Amino acid sequence: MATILVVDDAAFMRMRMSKILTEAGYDVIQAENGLDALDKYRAHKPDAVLLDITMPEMDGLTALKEIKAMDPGAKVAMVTALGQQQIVLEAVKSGAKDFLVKPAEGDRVLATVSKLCA
Amino acid sequence: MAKGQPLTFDLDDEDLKLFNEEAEEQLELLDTALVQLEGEPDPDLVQRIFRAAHTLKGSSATIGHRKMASLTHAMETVLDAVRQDRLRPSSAVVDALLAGLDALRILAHEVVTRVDAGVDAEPLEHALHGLLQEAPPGGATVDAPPAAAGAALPANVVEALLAEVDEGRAVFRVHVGIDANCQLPGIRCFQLLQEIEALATIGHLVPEREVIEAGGGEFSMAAVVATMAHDEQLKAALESVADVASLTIESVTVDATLAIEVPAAPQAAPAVAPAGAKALDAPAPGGRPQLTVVEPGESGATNGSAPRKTTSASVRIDVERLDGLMNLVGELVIDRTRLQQIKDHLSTVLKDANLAELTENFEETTAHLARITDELQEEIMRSRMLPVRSVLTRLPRLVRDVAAKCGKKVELLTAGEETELDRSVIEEISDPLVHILRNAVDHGIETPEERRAAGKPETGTVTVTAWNQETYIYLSIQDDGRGIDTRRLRDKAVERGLVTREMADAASDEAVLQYIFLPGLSLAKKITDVSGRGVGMDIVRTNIERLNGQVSIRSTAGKGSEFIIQLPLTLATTKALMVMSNDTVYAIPLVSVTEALSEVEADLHPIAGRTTLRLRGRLLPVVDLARALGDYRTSEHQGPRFVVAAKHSDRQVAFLVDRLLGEQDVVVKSLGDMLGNRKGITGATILGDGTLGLIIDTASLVAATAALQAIA
Repeated sequence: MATILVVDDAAFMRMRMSKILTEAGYDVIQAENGLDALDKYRAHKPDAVLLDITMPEMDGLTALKEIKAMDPGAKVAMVTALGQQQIVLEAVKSGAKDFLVKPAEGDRVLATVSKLCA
Repeated sequence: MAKGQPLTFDLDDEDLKLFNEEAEEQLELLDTALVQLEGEPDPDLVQRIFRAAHTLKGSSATIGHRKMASLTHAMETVLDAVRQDRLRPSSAVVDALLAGLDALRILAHEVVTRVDAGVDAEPLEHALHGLLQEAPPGGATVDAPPAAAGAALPANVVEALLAEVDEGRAVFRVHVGIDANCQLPGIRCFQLLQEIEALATIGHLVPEREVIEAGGGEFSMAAVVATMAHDEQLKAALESVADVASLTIESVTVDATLAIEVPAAPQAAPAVAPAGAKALDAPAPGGRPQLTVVEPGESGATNGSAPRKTTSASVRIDVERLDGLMNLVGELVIDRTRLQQIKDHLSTVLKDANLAELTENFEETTAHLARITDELQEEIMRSRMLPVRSVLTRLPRLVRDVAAKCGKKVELLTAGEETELDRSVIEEISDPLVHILRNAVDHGIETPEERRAAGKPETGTVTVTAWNQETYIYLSIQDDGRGIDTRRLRDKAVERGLVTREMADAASDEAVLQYIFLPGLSLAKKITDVSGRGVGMDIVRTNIERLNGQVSIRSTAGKGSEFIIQLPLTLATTKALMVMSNDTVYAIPLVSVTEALSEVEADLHPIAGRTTLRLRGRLLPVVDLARALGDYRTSEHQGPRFVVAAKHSDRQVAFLVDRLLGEQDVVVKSLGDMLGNRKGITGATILGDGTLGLIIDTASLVAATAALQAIA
């Protein structure tokens, strides 16, 4: 089964996402900020990344660009709150494949991940 | 479905709240905006109206209110034609839309009652569709924008495409609909654009490339593209983007008639709806009724650049919760007062006991608590405040309707919409305000002919102004009409037996104007369905006084009239003069108190066996307050008593009380149903020492006393 990197500074969101994905049979790795995400991506080469936008240390948009520089084939979906459309647009221009709007229902998370991994 | 039948909707209680709040907001917007639509359709206004109708359609469809969805759909279609300049918003158009709006209100309310109100929307829809018969079909007008629905492609685009064909590329017309539940359709449009560009050359794109690149795409997009790729490849690429709900790719022949078809911009295209069954009931962009300021469906056009609408950063709070808080603060206020009393007591007792420091500390703490409590009370009271705008927005429609009915030309001006009023006051003030306004248009403003003859502009002006002064709110309704004819008012009052001829003739014009508030007086030459039968102004006054408010009138013949309503900022607390009679504490609302003086210095005279107070040239009947309230125990009070003069409209009465206790902010508590409606008492308040004080209903006491005088 595919490995998914879940990046979010909020522990609750990470836990929720991880639970949804683990129950669906995915392997999940967690990272708490952009910098952490780069390390984990390098170490695990996950099949897909769910990347929160607003995070300390390194934000999601910067992390996306770094990940894409490291691996142009990286499959990333941005996790966004409403009102961040311009950042999502920028992320899509920078190579993000998809997005999830918080709060996202389980079905939607799984649909997005399976589309990313396809 | 027939009237009275139960209805079911697909929403739970939480949803219902959101639905209601949103529906109310949109209906309100329509109410104000539709009236302005007539004549000069500002594109922004048309767009706002269209969106409101669209949002209502979406949410009603989502909860399965087919009748409401169908009617909003019809209204939306008309508005779309207006938006595209295909239909001029004549008064017939506005009338049909307003009629639709009235029905929508009832339909929206059905969601609360869950009972069919028996609205027959079909004739309304029929009328709305009828308007469109006169409108040319989409895109046919000369000045329609190039990308309007069904518009032929510009010649240079056709030429460029022909060149592509010559190079062996196939030309496809692509139409993509995005799932109505997608929260950021603008992003999907951009992703689709990326996919198309990777495979094809774009000949024409709707919406325009700049719009899509800025994230301004909506729920559908269309393109005419030239490509070496197969349509299957194109299809696969576009379907790789999430939320694609419908996709058509058709091979087209390039010639001058080649057109591109795109549904109206912010509208979730019917094609987007889940296949067939619910074509009309296409859910709103964003699906469920949303409370959030950002409307996902509408975000595309405005996000990033211009904010959709100035919405203050606010949180909605349940009024019940606020009431609860207000109650708690009320308790706190009482404790504060008690503490202060204890402090005073302690100070006297402890001063000599060498406990000065303790006393000082205690004093400091009480003072601090007092300050904090005051601020807290103020803050919470403010949080219950709403701008008076919410009442004023309904007025333009009203003025328009009434003016049309009486064949008058009237312009309504409003000012001070930002002035804030307590929620409970807002709810109560709407009816009186509407009544006065109706009168101003129906009776005050003259017909265009009369105005011309009087050398006035044909269009009359009614100005509604709200302002704030000290702890009161003032609302003025001023018209530049004919003014009130005091001579006729005198005759009428005499004729109706409300006053004697002598009284009427002796009264000053100013005093005669007050007759307008007498029950059973109507100045209208005949009964009209606009202003009714003269059961109005007295009820207006009663309602305002129930709110501890006052209403006054000024009028100049030929120049116009002005009504001024004075209201307290809030009903939860009131400033009162505390008095004691027969060991019971009473609170007389300060708004009605004109004077308080000792029996010794008061100019009291027995006239015809009754004690009368001569005060500033007027004679006031004097009544014992406790007795007037039904307390007939013999007073054991020793020493001089006090008189408190209180007014109610033009009448004044002096209350005889044992002692004056001073001014105080009192927290008004309802006496509840247990005690029933005790005459002369509006409520109770808990005093610093924990005892109960009764709040006096000055209006009814003064009226009762005056009636008594009349009999005597």
